[in-house]
Amino acid sequence: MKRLLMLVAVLVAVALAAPSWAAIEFFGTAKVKPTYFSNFDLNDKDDDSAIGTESGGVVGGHLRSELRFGWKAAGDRWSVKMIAETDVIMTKNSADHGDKVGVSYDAATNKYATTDDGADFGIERVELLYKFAPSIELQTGWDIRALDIKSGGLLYGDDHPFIGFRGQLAEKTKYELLYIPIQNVGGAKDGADVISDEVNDWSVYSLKINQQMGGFNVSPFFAYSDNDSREAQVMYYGLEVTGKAGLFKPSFEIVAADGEFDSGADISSLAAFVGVEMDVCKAFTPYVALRYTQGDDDASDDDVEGWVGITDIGRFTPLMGMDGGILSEDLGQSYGARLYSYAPEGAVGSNPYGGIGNGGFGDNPGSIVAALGAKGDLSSIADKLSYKTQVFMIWYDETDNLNQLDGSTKDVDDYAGTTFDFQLKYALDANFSIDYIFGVLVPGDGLEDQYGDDTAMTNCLTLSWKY
Amino acid sequence: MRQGVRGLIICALFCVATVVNAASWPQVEHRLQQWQGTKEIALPHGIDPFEDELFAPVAETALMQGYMVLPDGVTTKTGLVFSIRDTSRGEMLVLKRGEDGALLAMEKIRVGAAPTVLSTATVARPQPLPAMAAAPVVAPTVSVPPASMVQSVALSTPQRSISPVISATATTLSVQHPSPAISQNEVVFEMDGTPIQVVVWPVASGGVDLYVMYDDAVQRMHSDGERLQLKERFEPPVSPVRALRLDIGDMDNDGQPELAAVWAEDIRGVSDGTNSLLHSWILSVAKGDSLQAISEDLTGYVALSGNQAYLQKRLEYAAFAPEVYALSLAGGTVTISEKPIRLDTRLLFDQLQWPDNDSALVWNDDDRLMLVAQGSNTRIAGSTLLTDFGRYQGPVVSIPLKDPEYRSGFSAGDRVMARDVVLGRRLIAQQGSVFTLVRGRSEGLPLVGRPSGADRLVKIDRSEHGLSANYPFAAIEAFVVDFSVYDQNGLEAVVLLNEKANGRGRSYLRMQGQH
Repeated sequence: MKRLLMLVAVLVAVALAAPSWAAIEFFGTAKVKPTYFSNFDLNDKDDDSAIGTESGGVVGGHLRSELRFGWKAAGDRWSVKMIAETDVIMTKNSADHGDKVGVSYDAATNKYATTDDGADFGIERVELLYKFAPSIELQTGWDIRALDIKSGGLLYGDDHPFIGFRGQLAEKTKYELLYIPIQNVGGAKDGADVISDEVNDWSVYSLKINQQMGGFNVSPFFAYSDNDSREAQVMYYGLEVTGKAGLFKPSFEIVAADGEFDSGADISSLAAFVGVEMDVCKAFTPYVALRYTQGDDDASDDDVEGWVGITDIGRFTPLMGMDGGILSEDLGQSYGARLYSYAPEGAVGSNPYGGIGNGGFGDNPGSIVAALGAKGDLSSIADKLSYKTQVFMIWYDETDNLNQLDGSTKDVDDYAGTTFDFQLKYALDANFSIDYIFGVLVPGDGLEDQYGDDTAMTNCLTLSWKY
Repeated sequence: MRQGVRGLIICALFCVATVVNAASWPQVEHRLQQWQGTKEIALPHGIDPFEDELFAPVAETALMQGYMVLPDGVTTKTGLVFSIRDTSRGEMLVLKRGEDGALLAMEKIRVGAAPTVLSTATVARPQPLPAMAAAPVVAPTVSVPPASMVQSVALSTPQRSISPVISATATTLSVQHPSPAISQNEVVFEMDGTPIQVVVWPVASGGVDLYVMYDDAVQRMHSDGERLQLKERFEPPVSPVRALRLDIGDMDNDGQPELAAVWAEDIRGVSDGTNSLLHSWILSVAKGDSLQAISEDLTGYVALSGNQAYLQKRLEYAAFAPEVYALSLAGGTVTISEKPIRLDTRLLFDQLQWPDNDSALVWNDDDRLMLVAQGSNTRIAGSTLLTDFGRYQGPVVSIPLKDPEYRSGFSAGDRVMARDVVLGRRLIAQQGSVFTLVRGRSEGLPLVGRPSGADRLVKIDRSEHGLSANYPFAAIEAFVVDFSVYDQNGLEAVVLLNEKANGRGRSYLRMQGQH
């Protein structure tokens, strides 16, 4: 004990006297989100099922807190970044670090239990870097990585664990190579025998090249999804182009999926995005975009054609994205798009092979989303006031796998519905802002045929401290 | 248990001893920080400043604070002199003023303490102005309106004056604070609002015209040395904007000043980084004293000095484009050169052509000033001035990042989407020298600290030995936001002061004469 204390004393003394070894910065955000979700099942008469959020499942009104504290130490060639986070629905239990009940339904009382899935304060993100040379930078941890988040976000954007390299191959050429172990759950047994230690694994290998060509960035990318958990192996081939030409900011993406299930079913699908933003004036920057994900036309055959990405990250893309827009919330109980996703990958329920939480189904109907929106700076009205608004018109790509609510065999209509979002943000201070999002999903004939004709709505206020 | 407590006590003592050890020459260090004369030190004869166990750390600390260490055998009349003296109390490290041998510091040399002689953690500490701090606040010495009229300056009342609120007087200086005396006729005006820039134009009929730049306007005022009188006001046609830069010169050599005014219009989006668009105009005092724009919006940085005016544009993802264009004024029309006159690797405001030769004074990556050859942009060897100019927090331009950094999450508030580029502090050529600002005042520790230290203007001269720094004006215990130096019956300065480093606190304008 005495020696230990002496050692501690010496270490503290040395630490106090020594020069600092690295620049360390601390930063963080604290967000409180009073939110009200209503009618996500498109039916006034029934209660909504639980709606997935980062804090867990919620129904109706709730207060969510997303509290982050990060620190980053860096030298010339290296850096270590860690971000601790707790993300909770604000209840007595979560505030007191009480029971971790998650979302549950009590049939006896016909009530949902409150949830505090994120009540633990833990390391939400880690990024560890070392640059051996400009062309070789080692990167690992679990932090945000994406393949196509600057355009349509059709394939991948998430904070899964990764290890890999990135670097600058030439003045205008960069690359990023990643191994992403999304699931590594362990072995499975058949009686006493271990039949596989990979049966629940899901790993992704990706490579993206970025080539600057004039005012454009041209990025071919490739990803191989080895999804043992779903017994599916899929190769994705994509191309992303972003840039600026005069007043216009076009962006484009196309991705093809090619693979198969262990059962022999063939996976072949396509997704694409094209959009353009026009810099008219600071108060009005309109955009138009089209987002396509292929649908499956026959769930009973061996051709799996419904588009399922690794993590569809439409919510955070520059043009159509809105952090809190209604289509980016969990509409799994009706339209079929999961949290962050714009594609109805959660619909139908057969041949799963990816998506957020590995919950996307290959027989989903796919969609065509035509988007029209605008954003702008309203400082001429009030300094530091800005807005974004958008309308999505959504069609199903294929409806053969969808069923009428009344059980009839009539085809479900192609037109799924219309969403409208309006976001207003007021940055009162460099460190504090308030933004409000109002969003509605008005069901079209396609959703009415399956669920109901009542309007889904979200009201989300975000009080955000940034430091 | 008892052993544990004893261990903790030992641990605590060890920590305290370490901290004490790390600053074992507090008196010497303090005097080095306070010294306001020539920043050079002479070490005892035969001392190797690189290897000597006692003096190597002393030399290192002095260098970090901007001192020159004179070569072996060279002494100084205007700087400081170190020596060792045997006394009845043991060997003492002695610091004296070179001019008259006045004793500034004397500390006992402890065996084994030499390697950690001075802490380097507090380089560039401010040099407070004891004379000003001790100066009594006296009533205005001129006939002016009551203080209640000071606050508002409006166009509708052009004859209203801003009265001086403080008139400083000199006090005796001590050995510990060897600052020269302050001029008797210095005046401080409390300003309405938060002006960001100031330039001066001496008027032949007496007094000076002051042009003060606010976020929403440029105001022309006249000072007779005792009062400020608002004459004219120009408001940019774009709103809201932030003031960035105001320069003054005479582009067409007609004896009337032109002004180059640059503002930033910050464009914010719900999920985009702030994008500062530049708006700039050449302003002129036309007949009838009206201040008006004589150019279209030049949408770039404009620098004006003497009769030379330059324009440099911003790029979408970079603070500046390399192309620098010349601006000329003829027949009341401002024209931009068709081709760039040069390509620069620096922003216009981060450099100044050295008076009377082909070199330029620029800020290097370590925030020190150095000379580069104007044509080749190569560093002139030995020209780096080892003065610590402190960290200046001037107007910023927000530049969106081409590849935003996902710092803590996907959301707009979690990303770093723009970087703020701080525009360099003003460099003014006057009387063959260059003047700029030393930020010696600090805001103190977050939450518990108070601002301390003093800012001051520094005069930079060039000799065959390189650049040297002198301090012709008194230091000020406030943040100097901007300044102007002019020659009218001798060298004088106008400094724009603020209680906050970012220039958003209470503001003052002080007119200074040389010591």
